[in-house]
Amino acid sequence: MEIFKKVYSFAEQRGKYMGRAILLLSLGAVFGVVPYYEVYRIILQLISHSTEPGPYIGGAAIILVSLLLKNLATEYGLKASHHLAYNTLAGMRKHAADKLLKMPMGNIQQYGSGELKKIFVENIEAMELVLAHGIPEGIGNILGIIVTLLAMFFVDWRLALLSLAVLPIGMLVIGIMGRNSSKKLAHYYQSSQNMNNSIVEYIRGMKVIKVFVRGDTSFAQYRKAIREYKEFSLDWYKSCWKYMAVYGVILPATWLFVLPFGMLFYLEGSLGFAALVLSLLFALAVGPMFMKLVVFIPILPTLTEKYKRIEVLYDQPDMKSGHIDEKLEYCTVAFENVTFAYQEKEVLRNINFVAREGQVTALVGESGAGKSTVGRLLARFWDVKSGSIKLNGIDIREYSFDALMDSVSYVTQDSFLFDTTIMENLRHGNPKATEEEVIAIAKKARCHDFIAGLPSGYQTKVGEAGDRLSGGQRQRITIARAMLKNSPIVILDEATSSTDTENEDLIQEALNELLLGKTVLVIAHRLSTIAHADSILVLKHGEIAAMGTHAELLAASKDYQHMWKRYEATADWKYQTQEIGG
Amino acid sequence: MRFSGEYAARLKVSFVLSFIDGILSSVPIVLIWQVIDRALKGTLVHKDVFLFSILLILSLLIRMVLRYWFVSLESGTGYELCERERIALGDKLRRLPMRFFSEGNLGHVTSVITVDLPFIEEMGMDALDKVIGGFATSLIGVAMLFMVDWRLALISVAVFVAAILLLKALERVSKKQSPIRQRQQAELVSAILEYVQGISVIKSFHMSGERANRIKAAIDSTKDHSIDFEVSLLKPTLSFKLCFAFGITLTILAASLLAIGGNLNLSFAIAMFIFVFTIYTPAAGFASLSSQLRIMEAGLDRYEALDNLEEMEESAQKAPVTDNDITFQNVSFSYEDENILERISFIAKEGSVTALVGPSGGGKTTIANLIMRFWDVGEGSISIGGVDIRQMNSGDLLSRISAVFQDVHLFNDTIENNIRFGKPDATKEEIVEASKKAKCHDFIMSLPEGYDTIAGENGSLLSGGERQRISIARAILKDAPVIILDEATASVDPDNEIDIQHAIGALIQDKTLIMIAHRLSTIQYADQILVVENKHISERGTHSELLGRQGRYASLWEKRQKAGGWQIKSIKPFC
Repeated sequence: MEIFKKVYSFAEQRGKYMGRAILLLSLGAVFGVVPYYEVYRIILQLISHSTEPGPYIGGAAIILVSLLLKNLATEYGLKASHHLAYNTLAGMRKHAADKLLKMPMGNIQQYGSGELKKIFVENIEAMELVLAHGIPEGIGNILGIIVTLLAMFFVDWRLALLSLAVLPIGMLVIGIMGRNSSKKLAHYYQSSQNMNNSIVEYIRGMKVIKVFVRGDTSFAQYRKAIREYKEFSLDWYKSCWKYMAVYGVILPATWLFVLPFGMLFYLEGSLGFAALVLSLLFALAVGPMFMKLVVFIPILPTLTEKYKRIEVLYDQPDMKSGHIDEKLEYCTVAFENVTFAYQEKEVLRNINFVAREGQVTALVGESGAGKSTVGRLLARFWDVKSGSIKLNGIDIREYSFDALMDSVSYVTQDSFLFDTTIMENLRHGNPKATEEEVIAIAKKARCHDFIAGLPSGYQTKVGEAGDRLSGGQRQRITIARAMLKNSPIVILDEATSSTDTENEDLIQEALNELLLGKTVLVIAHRLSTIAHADSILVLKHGEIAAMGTHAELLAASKDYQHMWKRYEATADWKYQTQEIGG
Repeated sequence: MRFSGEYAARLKVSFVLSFIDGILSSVPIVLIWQVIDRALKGTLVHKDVFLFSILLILSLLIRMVLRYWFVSLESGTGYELCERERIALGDKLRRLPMRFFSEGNLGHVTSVITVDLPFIEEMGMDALDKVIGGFATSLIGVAMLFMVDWRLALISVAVFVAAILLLKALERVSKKQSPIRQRQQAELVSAILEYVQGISVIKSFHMSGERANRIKAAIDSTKDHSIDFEVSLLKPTLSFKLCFAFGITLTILAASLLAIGGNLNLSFAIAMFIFVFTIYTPAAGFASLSSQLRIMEAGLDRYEALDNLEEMEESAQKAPVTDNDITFQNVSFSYEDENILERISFIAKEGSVTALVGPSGGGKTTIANLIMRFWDVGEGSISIGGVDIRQMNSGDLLSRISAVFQDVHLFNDTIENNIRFGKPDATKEEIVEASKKAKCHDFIMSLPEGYDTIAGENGSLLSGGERQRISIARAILKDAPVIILDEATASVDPDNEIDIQHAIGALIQDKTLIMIAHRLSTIQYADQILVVENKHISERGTHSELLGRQGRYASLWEKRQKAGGWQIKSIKPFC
């Protein structure tokens, strides 16, 4: 029951719809019983050999009206529960959207956009059938059982109890089935998992399979996994067949005890004829409802299981925002004894350095040395484990998140733009900027010319421009956006570098405009980038191994010398299809 | 139900079983009628209790056997059907052209096989069971009514006819809504994708208010459409169910009026009251099946769309390829009505290096993809060793080519087996040698389980560059005479670029190399350089020839020399 509370807590106006749904579904159940009572009265009339048609027509009218009301109440009850269900789904999605805003950026990246989309769309979607159909119909069914049984108790409590007798028998059979097949069920789940993995592997690998002409062997493996799954699933299913056959027949057979005992009671004289008929009617009505119970039973575990996947996201810790709420104009960044661990593993240890405005501080090091992490900590992708990062002497955790974001620009080669006009994308950097200001900045960022050349100029939608915007052009738009934001600190990470960006010289010029006079932290993967930096930090296994200018480090740091050598070899590399010198 | 095909015979048997089951399930009704009859006549005795109990239990036992038979036929069929379909689809996938396997398609196919098919597998047979059961009981009910009284039977016939018509109307509404739903779903997905992909931008430009409102609007609109959909079904569902309500009322009224008029036996009339409530129950249940059926229907549509994809034309015979010269002869190619390449001609001689340079979107990648028959050319021809590639069977063609691109797929298997994929009968020594050439041996040995380490999709043990080098080792082992290379591959892992470069260097020894080139140092030494832009080859020649011409290439070259990666110059103001 805990799970219902949790899941429905996401729904807007849940009280209203839940109340309405239960009220209407209950009314539906009550109206559903009335026709039986009317039939009972008609039978009384019939056996008293009354030939006056009036009461019969009246009875039929009541039956019709109550059936109408029953169906109306039930359908509108279901409608209310659909409101509830879709409000719940929408509430869950909104909660997830809000969660992303509060979560540390680092954890979001850990998920990846594909996985997040899956939670947002598919995993939440998967609850639709249960929430919108399973639960409301199930509850309607249970209410129907309760009301019918109550009515039956009213007529004759002994027969009411006897009609219930099939329930324990059916449940017992289901219980035995569950116990006997649990081992096979485990095999079944395992093989279903295996099959899914094989399928995904087969499809994802198809390009490689084709290129290496291994279609036959790979297909054989694929087929094997599918065969195995079928065998295990049939094996499990077969072990259930006999039980299914038994409870499938027994559960709805409420008359099994009601009819013989009803006859007995009638013969003994403790039950009137019409009451016997009415009891039989109720028994027949309640039988199919018992069968539907079986469908309802697994809903709880299903819901729990489906919700679990989404809950993992909801349970992520939030990032705490500080109280200083002003954007910084100039800024000195200081790392003081910063240590950071990612999932138990220490990534950075005792990092100390100061980066000043108007200076370029560069981080270099082999992959995995932790250079990107330094930049991300400054942008509060995560919080430090110990030590502190200070902006103008104040810990970044003291600043409000918005103020910090205003003060830091994190520029990567991953140039994300929203599917709206170029103007609007640029304005995200500074919503208050006038059109003239935006254009002036676009000129500085070397994008004005190509934007002006687009059919609708600045009003061209990024999505429509689609293919027309090249990687390099997108890159320059993001740089212009950052220039409009004009934050005192710029972090530059060229991690996801692609060499296919044409017009690199223009990007270069744009970047240098952006960095002018800022406190700059460069995470460099190619040493050419930072040869002119004011200060270079060499990171090794999460610690600062050396610090200085390019010239100083070339002279003093073995690590740096080694990296420089490797870099030079990379830059000079050429491909040849023949060995040099034979 | 659509792909039941040859399982139809089994379905017929199960229908017959269902029919017998339906007849037996009316045993209690008949007995109840007997009880009423005897009670009214005063002939009911204690012996009857015993007799009727026996009959009830007997009918239950027989039904259990029938049910068992029925379940085994139906469910078994379901699993076997889905097995067959999965295998058929797997086979189909092998025959699709390479271009099909793009990122978006992969997700789509995977979800059809792993989500849609299981849903059909689980729910399909259940739904079938209900439909068959519903039909059988309704038919039997009508038949029994005819035996009792034709007038009452006619009422029920009328009700069923009306119900069928109303059910059709329900389906029509449901069908009409489904494209709206799909469009809504697509809008939601794209709104969510934009949100999650742009979340870092949203945060850093604190656009949370604006963007959160937008995504919430998309979420709400999805909600509203879903509710609208259910609401649009409300009236047809209601009228469907009400038609049974009318049927029940009419039958009761008619039976009682007939009975008081002396036209119907009293006990028949009373039995009819009971019977009328049960006869419509299974059919009324069809309405609630519709949501299940709708999802199944959508799944089946997606499945069939896959199944109808055009396979690649295969030539069966092995073509006599003499050498590995690649010849483009007047090749034109258009995609979705847009011309991508126009009259491209060139020859890449065996063992030579051909560099494709030019702006992105100019057609370089398309040229490379056409060689692997991602698509077939519109006009002209591409041949290898004098044989048109359309005359070769695809296995034969692809066995001559190794392609190194940015997206690397490693199988969820050991590193050793991943490399062996290039040559199934390779010895361990050959694998180690290829790894050494591809600069992976060292890092593989440093892994806890060495070559036995599992390198799957989620193998976070390996970096992008390492995965790339493993894929190169695999290609080295394959030893195909033609190599197609996107040089940008090397910058997947800028920290270790030199290692990938060495690996590529080992791969291309003595091969016919077609390279999408970016790096000047590489281009300089190519045997021929093709400048591809605006659908054409605008210039061709060697580096020095082209520089001498002072054309496009020369200006490209000049620009490249200026750039060369990000370079942070001094940022002090005014200097």
